[in-house]
Amino acid sequence: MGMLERGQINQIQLFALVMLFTLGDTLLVVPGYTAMIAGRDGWLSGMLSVSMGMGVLLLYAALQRRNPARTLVQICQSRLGRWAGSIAASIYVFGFLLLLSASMVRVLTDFMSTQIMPNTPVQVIALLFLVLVVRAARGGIETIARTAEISAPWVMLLLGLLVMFVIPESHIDRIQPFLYNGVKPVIAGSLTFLAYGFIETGSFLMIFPFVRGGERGLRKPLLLGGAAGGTLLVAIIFFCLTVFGPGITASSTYPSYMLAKKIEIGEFLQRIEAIMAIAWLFTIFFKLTLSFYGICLGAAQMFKLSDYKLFTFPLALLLLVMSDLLAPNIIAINNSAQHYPWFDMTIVVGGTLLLLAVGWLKDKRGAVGGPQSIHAEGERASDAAKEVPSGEDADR
Amino acid sequence: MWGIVATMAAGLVFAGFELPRLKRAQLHKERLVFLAALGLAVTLNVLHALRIPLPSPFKLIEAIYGPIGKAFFAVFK
Repeated sequence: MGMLERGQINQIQLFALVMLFTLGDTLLVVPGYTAMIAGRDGWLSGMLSVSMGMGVLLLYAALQRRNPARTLVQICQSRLGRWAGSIAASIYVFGFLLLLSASMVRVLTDFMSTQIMPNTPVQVIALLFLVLVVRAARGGIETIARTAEISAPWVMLLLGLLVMFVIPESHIDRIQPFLYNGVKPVIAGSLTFLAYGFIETGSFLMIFPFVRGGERGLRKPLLLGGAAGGTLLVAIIFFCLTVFGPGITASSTYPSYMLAKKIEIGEFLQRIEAIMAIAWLFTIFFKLTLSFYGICLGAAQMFKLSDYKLFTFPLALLLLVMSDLLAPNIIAINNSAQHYPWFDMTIVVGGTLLLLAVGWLKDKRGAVGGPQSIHAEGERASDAAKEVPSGEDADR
Repeated sequence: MWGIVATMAAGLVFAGFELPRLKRAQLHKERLVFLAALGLAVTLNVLHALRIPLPSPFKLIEAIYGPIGKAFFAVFK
């Protein structure tokens, strides 16, 4: 198999990507979920999620460190063997990544059609967005990463401004007393945020091999990006709660968008919620594009093809229909937040732990000097020999 | 109705864009995979446009993970 992707990204770009991915759809939908379960302690749930999320990111970095220069699909194939590996890889690519992408399209169209463009058919909104996603995915990982590098400062600036402008409206007494209902709701409330913000960064397991500087350079940008995105999210949850109180935050679908509507500077600067919408369109674009790219690359690696771009157009069409199929309405989408996090958790975190355990067992047997180790070494060498750039003429 | 026409047209445009590129590069297996993937996507779109009920993937997830979610919230609330 030739090299499907010859691009390389640097650590600043990885940082930007992780931050934007963490914000993703979470920025808009998670404050409501968290407030619904944890009430006025939602911001404490957020802080708990961020700290647990750091552990999840370290877990992904650990897996990559033990399996250098391989995407998750290749790790599955080399660690679990041909059959089990293919099954595991297809669950990841056609289960986790595909559903993640379809959900992103759905969340986007739901938001646009309820808040901004109520009379436009959802297919048109989805189509326009998917055109961009296809273009970015065909450009390769470098294109995506450079776009992230350019957009990340703008997203940070817009969200920073949002937080600054709502400070005068916030009242700390709306979230007092702290921990009135104990810690249980705080733990329960952290689940959705943890899953949507951090566990879903498992999509990065498809692009880690392209980070310049190898596996050792992953930890720092991952943790910093996750912390930056997570901190912004906690701040937004905090201000939603202190501006609106837990009741209104929990009952609204997009509390952070409502928060932006509150901004009023004097009489002349009003209705600037569009800045929130723009920031969010950027973040969901990267979350969708990365998982979309992961599906294309992963499918090409699974079927041993020398071109991943051929999947972009069919996949866009598939997402168009899948996003519509997911659930009949926005209420059902919101209800899925009760069990969807467990799907994320078992597939990606469970899968990562499984691969780490299998790798550890194999390496341990290898250290004793069993026949397994010789076989594994031979396989690795032949893999390396096959990594000659080819399919160059397939590019366009 | 126009949804079906639009999907078919989109499928043809995509095929016209992608197939010559793959043919020039002599990627035969890739051409087959592309046609299969495009066929699947177009078929699903057409079935959906004809309002033929298709299974929702969220239903499957709910069936598997719904009880876990319920148990979790029962313990932590």
